[in-house]
Amino acid sequence: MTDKDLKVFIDIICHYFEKTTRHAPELKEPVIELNQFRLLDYTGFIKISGNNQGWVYISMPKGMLLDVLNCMGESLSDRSILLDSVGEIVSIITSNAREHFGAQFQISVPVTSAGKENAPISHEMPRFLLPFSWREHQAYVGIALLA
Amino acid sequence: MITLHDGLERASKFDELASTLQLRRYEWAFLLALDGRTSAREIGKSLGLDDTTVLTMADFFLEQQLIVARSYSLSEYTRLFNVKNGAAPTTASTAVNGIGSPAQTRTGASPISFSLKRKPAAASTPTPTTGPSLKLKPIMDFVIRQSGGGTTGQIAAYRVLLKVPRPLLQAMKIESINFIDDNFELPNHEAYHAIVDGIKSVLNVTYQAA
Repeated sequence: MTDKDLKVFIDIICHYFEKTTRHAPELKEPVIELNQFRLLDYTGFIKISGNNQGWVYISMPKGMLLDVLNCMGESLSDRSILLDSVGEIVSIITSNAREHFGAQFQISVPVTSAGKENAPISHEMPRFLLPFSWREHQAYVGIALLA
Repeated sequence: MITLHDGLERASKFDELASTLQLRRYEWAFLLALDGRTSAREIGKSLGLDDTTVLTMADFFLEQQLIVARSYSLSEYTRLFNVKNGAAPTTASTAVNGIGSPAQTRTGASPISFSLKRKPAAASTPTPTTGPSLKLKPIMDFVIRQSGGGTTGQIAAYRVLLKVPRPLLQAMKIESINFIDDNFELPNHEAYHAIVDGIKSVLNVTYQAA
C-alpha cells in the first residue's frame, strides 16, 4: 500500500464514524510511537498486505465503544460482547476498504484485543498513531508496518 | 577512537564505499583533504570546522570504514615530522599536528603527554553552526512536503523512519516523535545518515539540508 492508500484507509474509518453515528471524528496531530506502546480498552486490527505489510487499527476506550453502540441502538456492556462489537466495527471498515481497493490488496479477517491482550503487534514495531476525538472521547487510528 | 591529533587517511575500500554516499560539502572536503600526515584538527581548522564537529564526523567516518587512523614506524615518524631520534617535542600539539613545520625539540627523552580528551557529550553533539543540523523537524518537513503534505506526507515520514535500523531507533531512547516538536534532535550523525538514506529509499529523492 502506498502512503495515499493508507490515508484512504484513515478516511474510510472517519467516514464510518460519521455515517454510523452522525458525529464526525476530529483528527489530531499524529505521532510516531517508538518504544512506547499505547492501546486503549478495545482495539480492532486489520491486517494489510502487498508492498507494505502490517496492520491498521482502531483503539478506543470502553466509554467510546459503548457510546458508538448506543448510537447504533445497542446497549451492551459485557466484555466479550464489547470485544465482538469492536470486531464488527472493523469488519465493516474492512469491507468498505475492500470495496474501495478492489482485489488489488489482501485484507484479512480482523483481529480484536482488549488492552494489549492478544494484540498482534508489539512495542518493537514503530507505529504511526493518529489520535482523534469523537464526541468527548479520545481514540486512535494506528498504522504498524513491517520495515 | 580517533583523536584530534591523529593523522587520518582514506581506507582501502574508500573508493568503493564513496560511490554510494551522499555527504555534505564540508564532509567531502574533509575526506578528500586527508593525507595520513596532517592532523584531523589541522584539516578541520583549514576548513573552518570546530573540534567537536571534526571528532563527530571522523568517528562517523571511522565507523563507516571510510577512514583509518594512520600509524607510523619510528623512522617514518622522525622523517615525516622532522623529529630527531631521542628527542621529544615540548608540546603535544607540535608532535602531532605535523603540517610540515619542524617540531620544537628539547634534549632528553620524556613521555609525550596528550592532554586533549574528548568530552563524552561533545562526541555526539556537533556545534550547530558548522555541523549538519540534527534537528528532526526540518527533515520530517522535507519528507512531508515531498509527499504532498498532510496526513499522506506524515505517513511517508513514518515509512522513512521504518528504514532506520531498529537498534539505532532504540538507541534514541525516545518514546514517540511528534511532528510539531521543533526541539527534538537526533542523537548522532549515524541516525541522521540513516534517515537521509531512508528518504532516498522511500521517496527516491536526496535530502539537502537548508
